[in-house]
Amino acid sequence: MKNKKGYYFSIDALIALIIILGVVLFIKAPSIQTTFESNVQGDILEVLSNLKIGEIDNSYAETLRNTPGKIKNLDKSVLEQIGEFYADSDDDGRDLAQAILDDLELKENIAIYFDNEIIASTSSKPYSEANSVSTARQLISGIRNETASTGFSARAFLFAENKVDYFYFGGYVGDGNITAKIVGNVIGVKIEGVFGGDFSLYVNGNYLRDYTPTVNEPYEIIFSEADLSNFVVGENDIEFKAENNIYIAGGFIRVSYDSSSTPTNQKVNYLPGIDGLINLYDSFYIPGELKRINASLHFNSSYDIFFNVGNTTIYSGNSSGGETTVTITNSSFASNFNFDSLSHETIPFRLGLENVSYIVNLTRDADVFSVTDLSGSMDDDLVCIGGDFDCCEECAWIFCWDACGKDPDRCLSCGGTPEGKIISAIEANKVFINAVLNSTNENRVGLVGYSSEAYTSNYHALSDDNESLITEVDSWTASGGTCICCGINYAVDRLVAESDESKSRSIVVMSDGEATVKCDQQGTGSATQDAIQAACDAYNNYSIIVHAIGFGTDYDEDTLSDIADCGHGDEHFGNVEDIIEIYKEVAQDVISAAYSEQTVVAEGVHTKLYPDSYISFDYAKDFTPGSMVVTAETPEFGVGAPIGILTLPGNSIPYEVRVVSYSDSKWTSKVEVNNSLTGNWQTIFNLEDYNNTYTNLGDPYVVNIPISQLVEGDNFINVSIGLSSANYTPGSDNNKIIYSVIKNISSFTPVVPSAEGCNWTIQFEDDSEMTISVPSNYSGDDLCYYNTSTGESNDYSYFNSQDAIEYAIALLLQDLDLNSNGKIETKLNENDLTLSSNEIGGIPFTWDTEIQARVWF
Amino acid sequence: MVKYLLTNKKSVKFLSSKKAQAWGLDLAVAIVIFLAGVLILYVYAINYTSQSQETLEEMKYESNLASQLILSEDDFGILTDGKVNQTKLDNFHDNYESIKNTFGLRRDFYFVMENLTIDGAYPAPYAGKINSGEVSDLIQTTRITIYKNKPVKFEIFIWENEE
Repeated sequence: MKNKKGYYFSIDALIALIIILGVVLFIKAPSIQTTFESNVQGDILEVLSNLKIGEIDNSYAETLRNTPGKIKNLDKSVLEQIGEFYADSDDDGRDLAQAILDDLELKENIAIYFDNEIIASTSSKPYSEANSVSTARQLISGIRNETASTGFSARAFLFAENKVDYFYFGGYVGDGNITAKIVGNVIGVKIEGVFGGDFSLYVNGNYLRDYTPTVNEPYEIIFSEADLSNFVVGENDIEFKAENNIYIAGGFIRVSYDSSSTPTNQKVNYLPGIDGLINLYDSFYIPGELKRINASLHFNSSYDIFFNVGNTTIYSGNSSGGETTVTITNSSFASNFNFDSLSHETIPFRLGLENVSYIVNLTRDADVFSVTDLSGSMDDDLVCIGGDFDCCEECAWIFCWDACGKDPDRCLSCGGTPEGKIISAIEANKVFINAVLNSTNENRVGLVGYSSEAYTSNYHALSDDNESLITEVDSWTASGGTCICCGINYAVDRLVAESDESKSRSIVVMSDGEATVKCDQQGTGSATQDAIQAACDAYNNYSIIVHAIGFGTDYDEDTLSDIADCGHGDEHFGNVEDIIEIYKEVAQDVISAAYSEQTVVAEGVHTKLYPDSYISFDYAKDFTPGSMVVTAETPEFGVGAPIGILTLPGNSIPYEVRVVSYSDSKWTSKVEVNNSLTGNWQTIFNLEDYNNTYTNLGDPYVVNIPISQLVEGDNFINVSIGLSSANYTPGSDNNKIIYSVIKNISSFTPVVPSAEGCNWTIQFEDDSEMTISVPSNYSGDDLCYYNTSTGESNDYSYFNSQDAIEYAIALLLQDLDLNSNGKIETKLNENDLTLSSNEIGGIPFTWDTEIQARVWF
Repeated sequence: MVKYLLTNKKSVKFLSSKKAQAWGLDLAVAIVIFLAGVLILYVYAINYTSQSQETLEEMKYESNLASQLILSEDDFGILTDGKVNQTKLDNFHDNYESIKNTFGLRRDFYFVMENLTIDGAYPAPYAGKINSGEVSDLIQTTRITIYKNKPVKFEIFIWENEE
């Protein structure tokens, strides 16, 4: 018995093992284990997107459908409809979503969000207590809270033909009263040209006003509404009149016409009328294959006139003391020219007086006086650099001083170098003398030194003896006051006495300070006003040009500027280091101004070319524009950059491209193009093709550039001028390119919330502004602008971008502003603008709203 | 007992040791048996849990796959333009076995929707197959679809029959 007790543990363990096995083998886990899976967050968005609001079986939706005006489009998806309600801040969107969720009786906690704003939910557990969240997302376009969900798109068209045309003056039109004939219903005029003097402007015989243009620089005139009232529908004459004969050395009249014209293949080039001395250097361009050409010259001249086309004289004769009209027929042209050689070419032509000895030679000689300030202030800063001490030292009693400082001669003799304003002025005068006299012309220089007055001791008569002139300059010393008017008056007197009007006469007056001495001759009571008046008198009384140079640090810039302005000269300012360069520049100006080979100087001769004279030609146009032609001008080439850049815009076809060249007294001799097509400079016009000597050739102010030579993007245009084929210099800084492109002018807008319209103020290229209502029946108060004063650079339009009509017009105007300068090239009125605007539903806006369905546990 | 005591002191010790041996052996055997039991329980528990988890995962996969394939616009799906197509639904129900094989599903399944109509029978309790065997595990997957122009719950059930 006691031994049996030894198995108690084993028996217990065995029983335990049996129990464990029993549990494992016979006691099972719960009979059914159920797991729930869910993907309702993605499904709910998909279902609401696929189900139309017009078909959903939902009692709330049914109520909405039965509410008049509530559901605008039954084809919208339920999600879009909820979005539309959301955008309109209409609670029906939330209620509809909630009704749909309630109907589903989901076990899941679910919510629908629009841009994180809860729209509807069913849940038994707050979202904030969620252990896990599943989210499905979808973007819906065109919905934004508190923003209309239906939009408008507008399209604007410009219904207008080309209404801009140019009347080009030639490279030189003179000399006398000049008339341009303009035909049409004129609504805008801008004139630009280099005028040879003051003139009065008339339209159809009605006086407008006097003009005082800057000599040798393009001068711009823009007609006011009052000016335009002088035009009539049909033929109009714009007249430039002056007491003395004037000339126009290149220029144009840009005319805007009110009525459209049918493109024609016949082109009439009216010649400018000249009442004085017929002296015309011009050109014409035939933009297609020439079929017929004829010319009509209506003139009155007892002297023979000649008409050169290219280098061929096709007419010579006079009118025998009365008016006559000479017709040069097509056969006459045909007998002299191969029409193929004229097609697509810029052809120079020349109309002038023949065998008249008073037509001057190639250049005019220059007579110029250098008028230099020798007042005491000029040697204020005089010093001697490097002079021997002992040599320069001067002693009296017990006092010793440097005697070289104020004595340039002693400074030099003591081995030093004198420096100071007077020294620089003397050196500059020497440079000036040599520069002016170093010319093939018979130029002369005179010298006047002035201080408290103009002393004969500091004067040298006009001379071409530079040694004598330099000796005089070397003798100058400085002392006394500053009488600028004295210097000018003295020089004028000497010029009048020693020179004549056939010369290019000018004065270069230099000063280092303020005028301190008056002149009785001017008698203004002020030394500075006397100085200015002296310059005015010089130009007004004797056509003597007065240039002004301010020198040092204390010069009177205002007075010197006024002197140059009134004297029609240039102004220059500089210090001691600059003065020699300044005198070099002035010398070059003086020499350049002396070229006047295209000017006729004669007395007692009167001829007249009537402005109904013309050259007319028929040609086969390469193509006729089917869309609108827009004409624009590039900026001027600019100082130091005599090469122009024409950037042809995309989505357009170049139609006509012309470079205008202010050749001054020279000829526009060569035009070259460089772009990605040509690869290098390609000559497109060369005057020497007609003759190496230009005197009898026309001078093109405008040169056409063949479209075939141009590419979209940048095209570089180089213009050269010269006196002959052996003489080329860069063209004017004032040159520019006038170009026309064919554009299909229309614009479309994106979908925006409204389409009402606006009162537009639009600035045109001639700086006139017009306010028009678009659409024409718009009666609201919105103000929109496309101009330079309201708009900003690179975006001259000011409008409400949420209004489709305003948007469309702004895009249209931007398209019309070819050179993006805030001014529209084509004048237009509200009748030119055709608009269509449509309310468009279902076209997405550009903005999106994120819809989320979240399920959480 | 005296004899042993008298003759050999060691004998007296021997008699006492034998009695203790019986208890010690008993304890050792008991421990071995107990540990064997614990080990068996442990191994079984691990294997049972792993097998159960694998089964559930497989069922979830089949459930999701089935719901995706059914709620699709493929040939064997029941949707057209995002909505339940009654014809396709009837076809599905009528060809359950072949479609199930096409889906590559091993287990049977059925699904229910509100207002379910099958082959003209309304209300139909379910589409698919329900067997009468004992069920060990059940997966219920809930989706939402459009049936009779109404957003409805789509609940699909897939289960593991008890072996």
